[in-house]
Amino acid sequence: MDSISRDTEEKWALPDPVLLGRMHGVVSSLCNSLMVFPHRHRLHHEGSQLEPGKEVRLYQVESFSWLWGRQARKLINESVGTFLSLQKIMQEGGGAEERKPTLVKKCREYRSMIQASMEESIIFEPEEVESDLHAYGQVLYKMELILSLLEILFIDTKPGGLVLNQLVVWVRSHFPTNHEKKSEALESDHPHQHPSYWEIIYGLVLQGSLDDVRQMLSHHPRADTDPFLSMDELLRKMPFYQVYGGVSAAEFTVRWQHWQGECERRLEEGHFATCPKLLTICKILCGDLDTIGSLWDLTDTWYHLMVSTLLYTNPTAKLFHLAGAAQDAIEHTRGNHSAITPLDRILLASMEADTHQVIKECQQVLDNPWFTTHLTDLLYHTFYQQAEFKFLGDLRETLILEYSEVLSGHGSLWQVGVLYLDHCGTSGIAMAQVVLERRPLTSDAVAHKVVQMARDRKFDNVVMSVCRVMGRRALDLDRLGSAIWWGVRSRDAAFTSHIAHKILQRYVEDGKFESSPLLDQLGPAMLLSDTLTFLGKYREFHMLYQDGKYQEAATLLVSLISSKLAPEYFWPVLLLDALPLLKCPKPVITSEQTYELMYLLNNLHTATTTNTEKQNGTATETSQEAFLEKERDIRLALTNNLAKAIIKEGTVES
Amino acid sequence: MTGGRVSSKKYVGSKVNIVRWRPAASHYTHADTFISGTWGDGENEVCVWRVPECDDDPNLQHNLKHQGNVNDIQYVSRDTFATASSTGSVHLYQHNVGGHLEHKTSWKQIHSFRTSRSPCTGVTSNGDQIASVGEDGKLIIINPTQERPLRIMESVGGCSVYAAVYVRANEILTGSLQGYLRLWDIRAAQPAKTILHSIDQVGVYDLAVHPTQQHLVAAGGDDGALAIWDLRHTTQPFTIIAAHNGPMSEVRFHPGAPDHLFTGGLDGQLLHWDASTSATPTHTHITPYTPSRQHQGGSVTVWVSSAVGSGCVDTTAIIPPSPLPINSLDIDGTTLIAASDNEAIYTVRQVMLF
Amino acid sequence: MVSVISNVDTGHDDMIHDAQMDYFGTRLATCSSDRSIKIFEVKGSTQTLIGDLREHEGPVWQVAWAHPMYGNILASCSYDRKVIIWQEDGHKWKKIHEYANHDSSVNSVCWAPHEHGLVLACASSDGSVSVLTSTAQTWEAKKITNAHSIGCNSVSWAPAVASGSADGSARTGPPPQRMVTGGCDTYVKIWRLDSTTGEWIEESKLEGHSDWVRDVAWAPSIGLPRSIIASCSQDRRVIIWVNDGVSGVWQPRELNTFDDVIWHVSWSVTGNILAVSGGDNKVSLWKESLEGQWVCLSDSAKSQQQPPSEQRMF
Repeated sequence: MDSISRDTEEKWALPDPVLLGRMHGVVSSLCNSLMVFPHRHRLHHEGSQLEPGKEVRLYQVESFSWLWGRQARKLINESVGTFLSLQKIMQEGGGAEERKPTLVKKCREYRSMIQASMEESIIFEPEEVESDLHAYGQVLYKMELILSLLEILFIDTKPGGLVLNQLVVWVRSHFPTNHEKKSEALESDHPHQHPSYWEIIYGLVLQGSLDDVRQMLSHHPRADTDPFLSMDELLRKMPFYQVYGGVSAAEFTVRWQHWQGECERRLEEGHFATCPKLLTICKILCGDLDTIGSLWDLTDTWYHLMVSTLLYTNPTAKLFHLAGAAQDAIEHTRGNHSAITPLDRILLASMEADTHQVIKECQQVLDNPWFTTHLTDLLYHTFYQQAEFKFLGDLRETLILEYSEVLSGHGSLWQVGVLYLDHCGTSGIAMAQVVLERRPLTSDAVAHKVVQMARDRKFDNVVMSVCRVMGRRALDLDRLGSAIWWGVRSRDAAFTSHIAHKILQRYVEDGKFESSPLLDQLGPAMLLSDTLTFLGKYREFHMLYQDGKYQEAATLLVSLISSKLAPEYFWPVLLLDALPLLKCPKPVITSEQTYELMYLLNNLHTATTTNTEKQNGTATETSQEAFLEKERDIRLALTNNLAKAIIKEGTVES
Repeated sequence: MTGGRVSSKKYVGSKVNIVRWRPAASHYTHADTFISGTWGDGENEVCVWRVPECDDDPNLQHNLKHQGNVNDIQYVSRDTFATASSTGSVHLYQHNVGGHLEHKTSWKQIHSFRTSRSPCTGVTSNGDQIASVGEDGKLIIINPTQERPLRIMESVGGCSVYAAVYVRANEILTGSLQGYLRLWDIRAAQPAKTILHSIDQVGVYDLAVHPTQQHLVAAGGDDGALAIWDLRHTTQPFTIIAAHNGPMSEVRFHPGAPDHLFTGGLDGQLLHWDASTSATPTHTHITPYTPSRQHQGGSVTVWVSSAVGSGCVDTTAIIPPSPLPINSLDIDGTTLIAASDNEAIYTVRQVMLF
Repeated sequence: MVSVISNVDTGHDDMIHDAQMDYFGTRLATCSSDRSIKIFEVKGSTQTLIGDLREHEGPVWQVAWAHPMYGNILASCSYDRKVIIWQEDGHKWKKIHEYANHDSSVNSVCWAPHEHGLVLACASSDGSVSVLTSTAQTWEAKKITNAHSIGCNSVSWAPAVASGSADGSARTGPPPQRMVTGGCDTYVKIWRLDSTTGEWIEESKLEGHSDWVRDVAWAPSIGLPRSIIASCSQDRRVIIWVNDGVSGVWQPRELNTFDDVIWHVSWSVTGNILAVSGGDNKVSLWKESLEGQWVCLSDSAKSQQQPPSEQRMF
C-alpha cells in the first residue's frame, strides 16, 4: 500500500513563473477539483506588477484515486447494494444472535466483490505488471486480506473465542502457492523429483494441510519405509479442534498434548534419524520454534509465520494471545521495526484488537474512503451498543460523509452518494440537500431524477429550488408552456404570477395562447396565485364561448371583470370579449351585469386617456389602440343590451 | 407464471439509459443480441451485447463512443438503428458482420432551443422513416437516406416532448411534459388532435403501442401510473392504474404475448403486468416480433376488458427494487433485459412461461 | 494523488482579485485589475471563455453569482465605487443595474440565500454596507451607514437555516436574515434584519483581532443548529467563531497564527473545509476533526521550493 500512501498533510506546488512569489487564489465547487490562480489582494501592492508578455493562467487541480477507474465503478455500485441491505436489516432490530449471521454474510459479500474485481483486473491486463491496474489489484488484495482477518477476529467469532482454525484457513487462502505447486508436482510423472518437493511439503505442514502432506509423501519412492509410515501416522492422528465437534476445549488440549507427546517420543527415539527431511517435519509438529523460525522464508510474511507457530505451539489460542505472538513473529522476520509497512501496521493493530487504530491506519494509507467507510460501518454494527466502541458511531458518520462527498463530486456517481447520505444523521440530510440542489440540470431527465430523489426524502426546499431553476430557464428561452409547468410544480406564487402575466401579455399582443391545453386544465394548481387563477378562468370562458354556452360564458366573464382579478392591462381585452355577447339577439348579460360593465368602461376610459402619454409598453399600447377604436362600439352595445335586458327581466317578473 | 424466473445483474461500469433487443434473424428464433446506451459520463457509448444460451451474463461484443447521452434507441431495420442524443442529434448505426458497430450518419443538432442545444429525447420508426422528438417540442421526420430532415413540426408553447410512437404508417402519437398526447398526421399541415392525458398535467414519459391492436396505447407517466388509451375514444383514457412510486421510465408490451406488459420506473421497480389471468380469456396469437409492427389482425385484446377497466391487473415485481432508477427495459421471447442508474444490466430469463 | 489536469490562459492583463464558481460549479467568473470580468464555462477539465464584461472604470475586486432560480445573474464591485449587476440573455451579458451610491471603493459583494429573494449586500471603504433588493420593477437600496469606521472590507450572509432543524420542517415563518461584516476597526459584526421595522440592527460585535479584518465568511449550514464564521486579519490570525445556537454567544477559537497576513478565507460548498490564503504564497485547507480540532489537510507550497517539473505532491 506504500504506492498510494498519503500523509495527513499534503503539499504540492505549481510550475508557473507568474505564480512564483505571489499569493495563490483558490476556488472550489462540489467536485473533486480546485482552481488555483495568481491572486492579489486589493490592498497588497508588493511585487504585484505583471511582467510584460506573461500570461495569467488558471490551473485546475484534481485529486486522483483508483476509485475512478472503470474497474472500481463496479465495486462502487455493487457495494452500495450490500451497504443498504445491511442498514435495513440492522434497523429492523433483533438481538446480537440475529445480527451476527447478517454481518458475517455482508462482510463476505464485500470480500467476494473485492475478489471478483481483483480477478477481473488480472484477466484484463495480465502482462502489464507495472500498470495502474496492477497497482489496483494489489490494493484490492490487501483490502481483502484485512477484511477477512477482521471478520475472523471480530465479526464471525466462535464460541470460546478460539481463532486459530479460521486463521489457518485465512493463511491458506491468501498464500495458495503451496497448494498450486502441489498440484503441479502431482501432475508430473515423478512428483518427488519436483525441484521444490520438500519445500512444498514444509509449506503445507506450516499451513496445517496435513492430508496434502501425506499425499505428497506417499509419492516418495521410500513411502513404504518405516520413517515414512511413522510420519504418516503422526500426520494422520494430529487432532484438530472443531468448535461444534462435541469435544470441549479442555478435552481437546489433553488429546493434543498426548499427540504432541507422541511426536516428541518418536523424535527422541530416532524414528526419523535416517531421513533429515522427515526429522524437520517432526520438529515442526513438536512446535520447535527454531525449526519453524528457520523456515520463515517459506511463510513469506510475519503473519503467516505467526499462524504457523501458533498452530504447533498453542492451538487453542484466543484473540488476546495474538498481540504477543504477532510481536514475536515480526521481530523474528524483520529484526527491526523500520521495515514495517502500513499493511503490517493494520494487521498488527487488528491482532491487538485496536479497531480505532485499524481504521486510522486504513484512512491514512488509502487514497479514498471506500474501504474504510464500509469497514467502519461493519464494525459499528458489530460492536453496536458496546460502551467502549462508542467512538465508532461518530467515526462512521464522518467517513460516510466523506465517502459521499467524493461520490457526489463525480459527474456520474452522485446518485450513489445520496444513497449513503440517508444513513448518516442530520449532517447527511443537510449534505444530501446540497448535493441534489447543486446537481447541474443539464436536461429535463436529470431534473426529474433530482426531483424524484428529493421528493422521496421530503426535501421540499430542493424540489422547489430545482423546479424554479427549470422554470426560470424555460422562461428565459421563451418556452412559456414548460415554464408554467415547472412554476406550478415549484408552488412558488410570485414566480407563477410572473409567468401568467407573461402569457397574458403575449395574448394581448398576438391573440394567441401558449400551450392552451395546459392552461385549460390547471385544476387545483390554479389557486397558486391570483394571476394564474384569472388565467385559468379566462381560458374557461374561452371554452364555454367556443362551445356556444353563451349564458355561462357571459356570467363567468362578468364575474371575472367584477372580481378585479384581472390585471389592469387586460381590462380592454375583457370588454372586447364582451362585445359579441352583448350583441346576442337574446340577451345573455343581465341589466345588473351591464351596469358593472359600464362602470368598468368608464373607469377604463379615464385611466386610458390620462395614462396614454405615460405608458409606453408596447403590449398595452396595441391593446389601447384597439380598444379606443372599439370603445364607441362597446358603449352602443352596452346600451342596447341594457334595454333588451330590462325588457326581458321585466317580462319574466310579471 | 413466475416459477422458473432466473435473473442476473451485471455491473457494466456506467449508467445505462437504454437497452434494446436486436430483432431476431427470423420469425422462428428469438433475439440473442441487444444494444445498450449510456448516459451521464464524460464519455458515453453504445454497446453490443450477446446473451449466451446458458444462464451466464451477457458478453460485451463491441462498443463505440457516442456524443452525448444516449436517450433512446430504435431499430429501423434488423441491421440499422437510430439513437437520440442529448446534444440534439440523431445518429444512425449499423451492425456489421462480426458483431461490430459502425456509425453511418448523423443529423446534427436538429433539436435546439433559441440560444442553446436541446436534448433529443426519443426516436421511433415505421421501418422506413425515423421520427425524433426533443425538449424543444419539435417532431422531426427523417428519411435515413437523406441528409436533411424531411419535415420539422413544431408545437407552440415550447413544451418538452418525451415520447413518440408510430400508430399507423403516417400517424405519430407524441407524449409531453405537460401531460398531453398529440396525434400527428405527417401528411397533414397541422397536428390533427390533442388528447389530454390527465387533469393534473402528469407528464408522459413513455408510450407503447399494442403490437397487434394499434389503436391501443399504453402511457407511463410522471405519477407512476399506467394509462391505457383506446385511440377510438379519446375523451379520456380507458383506465389508469397506479403502480410505481415515482415517474415511469419505460412501458413495453410483450411483442408476442401482448396481454403482458412490462414497466420500469425511477423508483427502481421493474413490474410485470399480466392481464391474461384477470380478464376474460382471449385468443391471442404468439407472434414473433416484426420491426415494422405490421398489423397482425384477428386477435382480440384483454386490455379493454371490464376487469382491466376497473384496474384489475396482476402486477408482480420481477426483481428486488433497485436503489436507483430503472431507465429502460426490453423483452423478447422469454428474456427481459433492463438497465439502471446502478450501472447494472439485468437479464431476466424465463420471465414468462408459454 | 493530486495533479494538475488542465490550465488555461485567462486573458487577463493583470492579477486576478477574485474568482467564483457559479451555483452548479459549471461556470467560473474572474475579475482583475485590468477592469474586466471574464466568464468561463467549466466542463470536466476544459475551460472555455464565454464572456468578457467591461463596464467598470477601475480594478474589479469581487464577483458573486446569484442563485440560478433568478436566472444567470452576476454582481461585481470595483474601485470605481460602483456595483454592477449583470444578466445573461442568450449568450450575451448585459448590465441590468448599476448602483453608485457609495463614496469610496466597494470592496465586497455577497448575494443573500435565495430564500430571502434576490438581495445583494455590498461593503465599501466608506464604512457603510448597502443591501440591494430586487423588486418587480427596480432595485431598492438600504444603507447601514458607519458599519465600520475607516472602512468595511468584507460581507457574508448567514445561511437561511442557520438556526432551527436541518430539514427546515420545524421552521415557522420566514428564516431570519443575518449577515457578518469585517472592517478596518478590527471588529467582526453580526447584523440582523428586524422584521417589524425593516431596519438592520447590530446584533453582535465580535472583538478578537488586533488589526484590520480582511475577510469574513459565514459557513454553510451542515445540519447542526450551530453557526460558524471564519475571519482573517492583518494580524496574521484566522479566528473561527462558533455560536452553538442555544446560548447565542459567539465563542472564538484561533485556527492558527500564520507567517504572513491572511487575506482570504472561504468555505467549501458543504461547509466542511475552509480554504485560507495569505501573503506567504500559500493556500491551505482546514477541516474540523471529530475531536473538534482544526487540522490542516493540504497546503500549496511556495512555488520556488519545487523544481518546475514536480507537479505531484511529495
